[in-house]
Amino acid sequence: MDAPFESSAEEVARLRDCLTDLASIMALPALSTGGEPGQIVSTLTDALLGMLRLAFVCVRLNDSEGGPSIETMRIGDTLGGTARSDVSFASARLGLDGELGIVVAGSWRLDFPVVTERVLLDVAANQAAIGLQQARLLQRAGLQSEQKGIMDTIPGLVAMLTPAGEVDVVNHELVEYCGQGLDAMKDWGTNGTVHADDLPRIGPVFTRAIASGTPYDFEARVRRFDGVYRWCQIRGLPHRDTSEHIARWYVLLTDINDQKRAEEALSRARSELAHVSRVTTLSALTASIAHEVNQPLSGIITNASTCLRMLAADPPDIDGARVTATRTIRDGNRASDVIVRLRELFIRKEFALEPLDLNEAAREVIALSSNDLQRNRVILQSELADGLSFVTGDRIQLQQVILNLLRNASDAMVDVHDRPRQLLIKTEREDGQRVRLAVRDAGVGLSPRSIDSLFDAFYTTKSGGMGIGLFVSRSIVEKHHGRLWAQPNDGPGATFFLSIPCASEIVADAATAVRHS
Amino acid sequence: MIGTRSLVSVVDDDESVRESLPDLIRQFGFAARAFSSAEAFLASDVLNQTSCLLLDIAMPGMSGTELQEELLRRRHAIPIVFVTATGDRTVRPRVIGQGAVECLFKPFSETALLTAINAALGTR
Repeated sequence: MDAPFESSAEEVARLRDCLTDLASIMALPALSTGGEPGQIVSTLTDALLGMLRLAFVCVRLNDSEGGPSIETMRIGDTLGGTARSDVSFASARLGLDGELGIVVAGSWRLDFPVVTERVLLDVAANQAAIGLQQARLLQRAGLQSEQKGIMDTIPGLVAMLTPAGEVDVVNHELVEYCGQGLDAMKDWGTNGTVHADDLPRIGPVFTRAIASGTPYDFEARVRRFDGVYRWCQIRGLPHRDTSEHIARWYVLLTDINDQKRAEEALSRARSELAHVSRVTTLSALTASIAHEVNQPLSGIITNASTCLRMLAADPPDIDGARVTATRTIRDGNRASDVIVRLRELFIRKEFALEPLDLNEAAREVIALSSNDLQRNRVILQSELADGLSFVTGDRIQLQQVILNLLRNASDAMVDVHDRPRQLLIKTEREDGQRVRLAVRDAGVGLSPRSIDSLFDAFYTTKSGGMGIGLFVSRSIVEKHHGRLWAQPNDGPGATFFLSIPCASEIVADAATAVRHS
Repeated sequence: MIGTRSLVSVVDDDESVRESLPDLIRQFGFAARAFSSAEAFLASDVLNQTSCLLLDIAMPGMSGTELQEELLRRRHAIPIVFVTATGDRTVRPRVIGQGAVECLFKPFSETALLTAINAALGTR
């Protein structure tokens, strides 16, 4: 009869002990008020070891920055009276998902842990977790204020980012410059701190840098306190801890607006100068061409005048007229020779014929000009036909033609802002043993009137152009027994075509053999 | 022959000019002689008979304007009509300022040539 009462009294005693222990755990200031993590861990292990009379207790504490974890083990004094080999375990997580670490307790008692012990263990672990969280926050706040203190002394615009790229600390100078505090700075990607036009360009660069942990460096317009956007160079450098993990990013902003304006002015002046010198060259060239052509023209007119007078005489001087007419023809040919010489002036004299793959030649040119095209925000698409026959030609000269077509296409799209600057380069087999290369742009296009004069020397629609490019290009292509022509697109822009005959089979075979050897 | 008709001398390094101009000048009714250089003209026997000199400006050796100075120095007051293939129109006031009758730019019409020769002969 006494047994239930007795066991109930025992139960009450055990509960009382448990409550006392709980109270003392709650009262341990070191656990919950956020002391040093090491101190929290040792307080926790001491308390558990004593209260639960454990054989041992282990704590693994994870590093907040992702570094190696710290493990602490304490072994109890007693072996439980007897030399026993069986140990019972219980564990509790530190933090909701165990992100802070884990506590493992071991006891010689086989019934460990009873409910009250379980509760104690959990509460102790919970208290320690709160303490550890707080310790981390304090440590971070301390770091932040320490960092800010240092950063404020730097005479420059400096920010610190978290490893994930969030703005964490901004120095005094940056706050003054932008006229906004840390909270506004955090939303730099959406609140106009950086010019909206620059975001599409720098956004991906920034995201990639943060993801890959590589330094970044770009230019963007940043809004100053007075609302004026100024060009800034923005450089970010990751700071790594001893375990090579990125602990934070340091960002340095430099106002380069004045430099940039000066650079722009300089480059404008340079291009104007280049234009002037081109024009000067052009006028010198025109003068010499005029001189060369005027000589035979003068002869033609003089001879024709003489011829007419001889025929009008009474009696007509037929023989004399015949001689002067012959001279007229000769002078006409002379004028035409001048034009031929002029063309040769612009074309390399040596003509190195070799069997070549137009696709490969085009690829090289594309690689060469990809930087220029990117700078002009041209989207280049290439559709190079498989198994294209070889052509015979001078590689360098044909590449000059292709380069010229790509440049023209890119230049034609400089003022295009309402649609993508699409540029398509395409090769294909043509009927009649010919290969065709097309360069299609989405630029200003061609008027029917300009199509006729496009290939004339000194014809240009570009302010900086000399109008030699297409003229020379056509000469080169004609030397390859090919054709070069232009066509307006159905949509915006124009397409330039280059068509040249294939190399004879023998030459193509030889070339293939050489390439495979 | 030369004594009855005014002699127009042509000095030009361009062969087609030397061939064509004298024929046209003869069609106008003048006598004509052609020389391929200023030096050849100076060395010729027609310095005193020449009533009008059609003179190219740019020539290898002595230039047209140098010949003009040389003639002045030798006091041969031959009226000069310059003919040039250059497109530079500033040449004209310069040579006329130095005493030339006219400066024709190639290619020129026969009317312009005849007018210039007549003007030269009229100044004599």
